[in-house]
Amino acid sequence: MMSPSMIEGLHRLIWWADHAVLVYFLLLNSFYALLLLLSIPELWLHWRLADDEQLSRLLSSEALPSLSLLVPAYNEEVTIAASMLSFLTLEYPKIEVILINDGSTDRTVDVLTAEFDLYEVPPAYPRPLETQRVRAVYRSRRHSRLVVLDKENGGKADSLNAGMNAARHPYIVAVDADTLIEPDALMRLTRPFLLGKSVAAVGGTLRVANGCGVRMGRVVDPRVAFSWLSGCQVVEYLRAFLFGRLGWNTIGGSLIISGAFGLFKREYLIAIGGYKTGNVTEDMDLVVRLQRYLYESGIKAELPFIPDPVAWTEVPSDWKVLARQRERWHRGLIGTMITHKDLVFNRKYGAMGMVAMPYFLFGEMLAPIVELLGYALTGLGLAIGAVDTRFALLFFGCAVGYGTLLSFWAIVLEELSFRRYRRRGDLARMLFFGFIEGLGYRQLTVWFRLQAFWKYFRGAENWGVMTRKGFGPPP
Amino acid sequence: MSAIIVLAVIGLFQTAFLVLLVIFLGVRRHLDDVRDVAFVAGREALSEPLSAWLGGGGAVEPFVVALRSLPGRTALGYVGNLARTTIPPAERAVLARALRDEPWVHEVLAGATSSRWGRRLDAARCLALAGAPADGALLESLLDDSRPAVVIAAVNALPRVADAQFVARLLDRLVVLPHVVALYLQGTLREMRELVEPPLAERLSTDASSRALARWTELAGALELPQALDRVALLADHPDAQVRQATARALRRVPRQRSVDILQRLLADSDAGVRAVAAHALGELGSTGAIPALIAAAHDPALNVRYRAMLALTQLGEPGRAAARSLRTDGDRYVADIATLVVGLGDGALLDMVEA
Repeated sequence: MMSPSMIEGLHRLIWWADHAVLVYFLLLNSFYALLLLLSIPELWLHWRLADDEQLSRLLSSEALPSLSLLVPAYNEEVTIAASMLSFLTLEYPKIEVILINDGSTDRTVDVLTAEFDLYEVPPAYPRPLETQRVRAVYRSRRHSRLVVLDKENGGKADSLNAGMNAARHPYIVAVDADTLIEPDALMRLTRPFLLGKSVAAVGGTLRVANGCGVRMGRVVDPRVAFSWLSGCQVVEYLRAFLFGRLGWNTIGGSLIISGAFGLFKREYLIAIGGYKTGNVTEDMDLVVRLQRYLYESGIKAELPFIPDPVAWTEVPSDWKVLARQRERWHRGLIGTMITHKDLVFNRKYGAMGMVAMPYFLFGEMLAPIVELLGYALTGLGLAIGAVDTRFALLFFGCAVGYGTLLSFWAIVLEELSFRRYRRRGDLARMLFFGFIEGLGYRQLTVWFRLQAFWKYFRGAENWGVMTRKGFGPPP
Repeated sequence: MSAIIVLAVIGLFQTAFLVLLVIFLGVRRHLDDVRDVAFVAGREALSEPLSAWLGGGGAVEPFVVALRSLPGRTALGYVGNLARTTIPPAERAVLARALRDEPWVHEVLAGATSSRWGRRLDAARCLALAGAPADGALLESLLDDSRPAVVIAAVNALPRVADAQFVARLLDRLVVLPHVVALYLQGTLREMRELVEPPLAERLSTDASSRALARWTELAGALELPQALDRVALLADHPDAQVRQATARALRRVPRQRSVDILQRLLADSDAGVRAVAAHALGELGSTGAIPALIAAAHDPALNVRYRAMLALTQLGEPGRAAARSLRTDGDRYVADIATLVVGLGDGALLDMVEA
């Protein structure tokens, strides 16, 4: 039995802890609101520019930079031919497509050889980055811009490094083999160059392909999925890309460019040693090292995010796969934050050190722990009468309400700008999923992210399997 | 208690805000539908005078009068799209003259001095459609805009507005523009070659900065201006490597023996970048006389020069390809590897690599 003074102490502790969580929640959400406000002029800018961009004029201009599209593939025999065809028919004049077969155990290379009439060429190019052995290099007799590297298995990062070695052009675009890129997305992605900016990397938008009509590797009918899990992710992606990343354009120090669709200056990636093979999420680690390199070398180059170049990706449609994905993402975040802990509140690194890194530490990495603490302490407080029931209910309601508000704002931004989803039914579903996302889905993702701490400190390095169902025809 | 009040206030605001957002979304969709219906009706009303004008025989004025039924920005977007996709270049000039005195055009152009960049962007776009030589001052101010997007849009108005003096001033500005923007500008200047050539040739004879000479040389090559390219040849011995490199690149547009001689000389340049560009240019010129020099360049210490020289050999007909094939058994393993790669490429891949 506890003495009255101990109970009194516990009451006080819970009261203070609850209020600390409340302050954390208010600060974090105020920062989200700031990002949202900052994203509005950026979104306006790009919407105006995308409004009647003279893309055909751009196509015939010398201004577009040459790109090497890197496509790592592992056991993709079923979809690889269609994917490659969609990449090879993108509307971009100066591009080579490099597929890197990462030691597939299926017939990926055989399918490619048959479909594209591949022939072997000597691997005559310098290799500044160490990778697993490249067994053969192929070119295609049917598509002059296609290069296929067949290498021993080393993971996605190793494949991208091998592709970067073989790339001939000054800029690379890293995509996943199953990413569906809109035909004019690459031209839109190069807009910062045309605006005269010095660019180290550019991020484009990823959207959820589940539920959309897909034909020949292209999304021809954008829809919001009917399933709860996919639908919640539609809203989640909108929120993350339309204001989460756009807001960072103004602050500077952006730390994420999606590994599934991002453009990078090859020279800088080579300088930082390419992708790090031991990291389970290669994209954040890469961008942090790139930003660090730019600061330390005194290179003034931006890493803008552009909202209208769109690539579509299949998101997990069952809980187990989602759990693995979110755990892995968070494990990668923890690893990156620990590796680069010296950047946090380091004025030498400008906005990255003073804003982005602290935000990712407190607002992203530690968020699931704080949220769990909030639920646990409130539950305990309610049980022993240390917390007022009205306070607990209001707190929970406000937390859910804030999330819903941000989701609705993201939907408003989408509606006011690019409006990819034209049907009223899609808008209604987005609002519905935005409303219910905070009631279950969010709490489960917190749980998945918490598991990442356990796995990280146990030293797990596996990626887990991402099971995909593939895309259906247009309805 | 105070925390509960704070949370209650936040909750109330949230609820009100959420309701407002949902109402806003609904109203917005409804208004957009109404606007779409009006736009379709307006466009249908335009289709008859447009067909009469473009189909032959009809005047442009009825179409311009019909355009007045659309709001200014909508009309601008609609006509801009038509100009890009439907209206032939000669008719665009007719349309520009007819539009110039339209009230909505005046209104949009008045935005050129607005503090809101979106209005300045509209003005720049409008100038590309309805600009006249008298709008030179307006275009100058838009080309000086702090927003690059406005500058890019203003560049498209050049063919409609710029005269010889304007183009001359633009050449000086070309030097300070970011490279990609300068390249974009080059594309527009292509439509005004006769205005560009005299001032460009004049500038290439001056003792300007290396950056300026390199930019102008690049322009002379891109626009294939013979008078200016004559001057370019004199820059092959310039002390700055970026000028020599631009010279080598431009000379591939001048198929004369003199160009081949200069480029062979540049194959021995101290700068590897210049040597690589010279090898590339020799391939483009297709002179078989350059084969011995290119074989020597295929053994260059710089990988890129070897690679470019080998690709150039494959562009020189059968004698060049035979030379490349013979290098497959060269004593230098790296030379042999590159030769094997290049000789083994299909025609499409070869073309792709040469153009890169």
